[in-house]
Amino acid sequence: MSRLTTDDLLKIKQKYKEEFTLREGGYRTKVTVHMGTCGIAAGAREVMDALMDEIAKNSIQNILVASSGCAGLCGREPIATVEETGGETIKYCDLNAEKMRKIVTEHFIEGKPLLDYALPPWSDMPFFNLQELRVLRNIGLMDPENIEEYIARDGYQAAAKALIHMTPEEIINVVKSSGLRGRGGAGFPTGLKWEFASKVQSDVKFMLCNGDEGDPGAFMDRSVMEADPHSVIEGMIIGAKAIGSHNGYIYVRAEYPLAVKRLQMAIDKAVEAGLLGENILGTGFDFGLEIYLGAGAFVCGEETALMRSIEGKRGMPRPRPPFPAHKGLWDKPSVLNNVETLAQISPVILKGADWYRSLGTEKSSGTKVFALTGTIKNVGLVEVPMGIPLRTIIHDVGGGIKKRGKFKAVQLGGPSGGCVPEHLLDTPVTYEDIVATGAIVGSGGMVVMDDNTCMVGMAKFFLEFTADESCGKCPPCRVGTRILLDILTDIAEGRGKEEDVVTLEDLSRDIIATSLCGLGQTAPNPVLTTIKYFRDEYESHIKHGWCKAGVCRDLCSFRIDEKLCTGCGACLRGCPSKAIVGEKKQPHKIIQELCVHCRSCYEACKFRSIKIMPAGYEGDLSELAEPAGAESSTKKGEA
Amino acid sequence: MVEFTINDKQISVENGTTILNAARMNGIKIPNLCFDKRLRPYGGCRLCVVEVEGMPRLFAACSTPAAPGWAVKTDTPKLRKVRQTVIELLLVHHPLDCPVCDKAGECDLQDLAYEYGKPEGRFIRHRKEAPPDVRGPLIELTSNRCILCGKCVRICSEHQGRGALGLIGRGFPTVVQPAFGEILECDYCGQCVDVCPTGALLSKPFKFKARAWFLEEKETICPFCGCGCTLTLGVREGKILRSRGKEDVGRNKGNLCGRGRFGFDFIYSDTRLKTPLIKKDGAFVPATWDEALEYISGELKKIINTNGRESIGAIGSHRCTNEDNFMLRKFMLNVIGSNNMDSSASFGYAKVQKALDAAFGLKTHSINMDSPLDKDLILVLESDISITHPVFGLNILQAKRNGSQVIVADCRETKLTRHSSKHLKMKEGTSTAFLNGIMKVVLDRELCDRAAVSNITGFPGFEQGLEDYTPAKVSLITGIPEEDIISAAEAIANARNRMISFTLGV
Repeated sequence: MSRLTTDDLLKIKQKYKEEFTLREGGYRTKVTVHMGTCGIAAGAREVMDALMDEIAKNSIQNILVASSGCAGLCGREPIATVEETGGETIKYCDLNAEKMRKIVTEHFIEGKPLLDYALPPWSDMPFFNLQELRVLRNIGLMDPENIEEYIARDGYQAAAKALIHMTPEEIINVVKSSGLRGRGGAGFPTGLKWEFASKVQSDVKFMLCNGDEGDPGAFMDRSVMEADPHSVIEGMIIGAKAIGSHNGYIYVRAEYPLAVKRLQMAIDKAVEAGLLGENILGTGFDFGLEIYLGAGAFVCGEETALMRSIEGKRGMPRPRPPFPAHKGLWDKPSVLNNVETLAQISPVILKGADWYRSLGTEKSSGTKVFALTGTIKNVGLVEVPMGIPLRTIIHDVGGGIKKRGKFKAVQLGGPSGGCVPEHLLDTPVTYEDIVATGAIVGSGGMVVMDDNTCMVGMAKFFLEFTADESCGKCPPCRVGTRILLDILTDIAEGRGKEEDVVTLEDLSRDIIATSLCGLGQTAPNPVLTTIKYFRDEYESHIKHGWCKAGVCRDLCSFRIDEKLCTGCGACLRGCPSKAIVGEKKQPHKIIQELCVHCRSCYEACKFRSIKIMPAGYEGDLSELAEPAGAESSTKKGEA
Repeated sequence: MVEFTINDKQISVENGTTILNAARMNGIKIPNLCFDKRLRPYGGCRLCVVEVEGMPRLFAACSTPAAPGWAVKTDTPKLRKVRQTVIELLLVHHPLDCPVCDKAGECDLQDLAYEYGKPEGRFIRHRKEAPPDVRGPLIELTSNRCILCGKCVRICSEHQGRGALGLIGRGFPTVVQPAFGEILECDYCGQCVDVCPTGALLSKPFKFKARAWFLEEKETICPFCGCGCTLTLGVREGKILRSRGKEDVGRNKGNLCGRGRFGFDFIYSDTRLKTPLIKKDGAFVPATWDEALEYISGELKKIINTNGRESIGAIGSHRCTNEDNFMLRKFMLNVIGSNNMDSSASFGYAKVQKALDAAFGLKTHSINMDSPLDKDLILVLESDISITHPVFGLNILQAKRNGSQVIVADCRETKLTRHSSKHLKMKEGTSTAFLNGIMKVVLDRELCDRAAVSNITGFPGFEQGLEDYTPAKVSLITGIPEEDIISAAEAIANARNRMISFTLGV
């Protein structure tokens, strides 16, 4: 590709409009197989191979086959989108090679869509129709490896506008008045960050992108980098112009190979097209961009640690000031923005601050992408306007809890965040409101938990993560998280002491007060919020040796309520240790000595006849019976 | 200037001064374990946290610049509480083996635990049980006692320019170690031993020699090189047991090299002469000082009487202190009446001295330790200053860290070349040609005030002498590429101020 001018951008757009609008281009059908990491892991490659194979075998003409990034509904991958001339768009989900072959035969050859394999029409699904796609505007709709498709979707128009028609001050003003706040977690106003760096005099400045997404359960940035890499690059070009930088790095963890590959392809293509490098679009503005591969340390998502990591040093945070806007990478003024932040810069520039503010709230404008995971029906990536209640995201967009579980809590902000219980689900998603609950918006991981989750176990899980990921620089984080984890482990394994909860709270507060960086300052949040909202679960573990969710193996026993058992044998068949005995249609019994507390009978029983009791409990079930975990915590924690 | 208060005391400091430095200047103590004034603020130990009135969060005094109007409190119940917790956490895995630790009595961790610690620890974990690493010849590393303040790692890489120690691993299992857990191989300056706030890094020769509180500390000047560092000797019952540097003491300001710190053991060597010897019948026989002095003065008188005063000469030593050499000179001039004095220095500095005298009329050129610190450009000529004058070399490294340009012309790879802005690899012994080449470029390109230099007596002859030293020819002689010679000349000429540094052998 030769170097492009702004005219060329428009020409490409026009060309695509003509060629790829199905009627005009001569294609009857366009099939897009979504090949993000989620899709590929679920088998999208096999689906694609089957599709190509069938098309070749049947020598079908006029079908345009395309690949693109994640379609958002990761839980139903592999997904293929079929667009037809004059017809409705159909999304086939949960595909495999066999299904794809059948679709080719029945749908493409015989013209009968296989609605059994398809998702309901878009407009009928809250998962799609409640979303507002700004960051995810191109995701799943274009081939991330083809720069022309991005250009056809208004790509690099904003960069052209910023480079040719706008001064750095104008760019900063638009971003400032849009109210866009950093989507990495802390929510610092992006325009302000740029303004600080633009005012510092220096011959060298750096524009950096933080793609070091590391929270368990978060995959927003990965999807954007995989499915729409150019939007990140374009955001960086605009930011570079705003602060006066000519060098940039995208810091991505090596665990994201597909994101790295697609970003690198995008950079290469953009350089080739004269959209990166020297004299961009003939404007005389230079901006060179490189990818820096991180080794996957969570702490390297912290800005000062990230910069040290790029310098080739040990990734450890350093105290601020000096702030990176003054002394960042190699002591030069630097701006670090998150992937999601950068991906929405170009629409802000093109459509203006007012358009951006049209969604969201006064202080938290625009949209936020969340990665919905856990025991929720629609596992996937969603983008919703800020200010929307959590309940809408979980119960409408997310489709509620899977199977017959009952919502218990949602973990926001990953290991740095906290859990939000049922009674606070009407909290609107804004930076301030979420912080008031004890959690944080964070980068957007949303792990939904049902009543089969033990909150002590949940806190322990996240502390295992933070204790492992602590860089070790300051003692509150290095030793403190380890002690928190030890105490939680003691509680989960039946060695809990009465004073442990007080110790946990007290130590947590001291860790927050004294830690050097955001990792330590937020690591105790899962402990504090679970204690705040589920204190009785801690007490039940410690005082009664009873994990009511049946997760902590040493603190539970499984019993069959003979009154409810129908003798269907489902539990017996699933028991891996042959601990269940009983005749057909007669109440069954669990032999406690053989039971390994694996929960498989509990999950298998359709009649809720398996009861979770304290370890070694031999008394009458009715005395203690209460549905496991559920609602046990009713609003006590609301302090 | 920033006006603010610490503990209600009105304080005025320069812009950008950290709270901790402001407090230190005003005699206010803020506890810390990872601060060293020679190093960049690290903010790691979290003990120096202070409260600022009206601010909800705590600030690390070591890394937070004071802001106008702030009311800083360094000792409040809240601060005592969190410091107590931090110490408690540090002691979770510290072995508390103070009874057998050489650091006890002068240990920062011990002192702070005494001040802030609680008698009962809430957290019980297995103490670390790694055996001490005693493989190195001079420095012993006991990682059990380490609190990971990183001072050793930073003094070694940031200040000493060596980087022999690193933090290995992440989080709780982090340890301080040489690369790949190998034997510590370094400059053996022992600066890490001095900065360690616990007994994790200790001097091996001093091990189990004396409790800190039995040591009497005496200051003396190091005899090894011209730097004149102050050694703080630890003496017990008249025996020197160790030598260390003390913060802000002497012109070395607490820095020492390996020679100063570890190199005093020869004074207790079995083969060392402890009495004067007088040769009798072809064999040396021990004598008392009275006998010796009487013998010497008798012999001197005899020689003066027979051969005259001029027939007596004396040889001084650069291993002696200035005072000793001064006394020798006084003795020779006033008592003997002879001017015949020499020392081994005539093979080294005397030549330089002669040249400096001829060129600049300088009779002495004692080292100004701080001279590199305010220079924009430092040119080092064929000198491994970090070896010959290690503590002076530190200031060149520090100047570089502060932004000075350091150009090193040397055929060897040395610590200075590794830290230089530019290493000009030159053929051995070609410094003179190199300097001539530099001067020629400076004059040819009018990079100096020609009118001013022309007034110097002998200038035309001097310029004529440079005639042949074109960059091309100098490049041929020195092996330095032409363009490097030119750009070095330009850098030297254009610097606001500069120094040229060299030691023996140029």
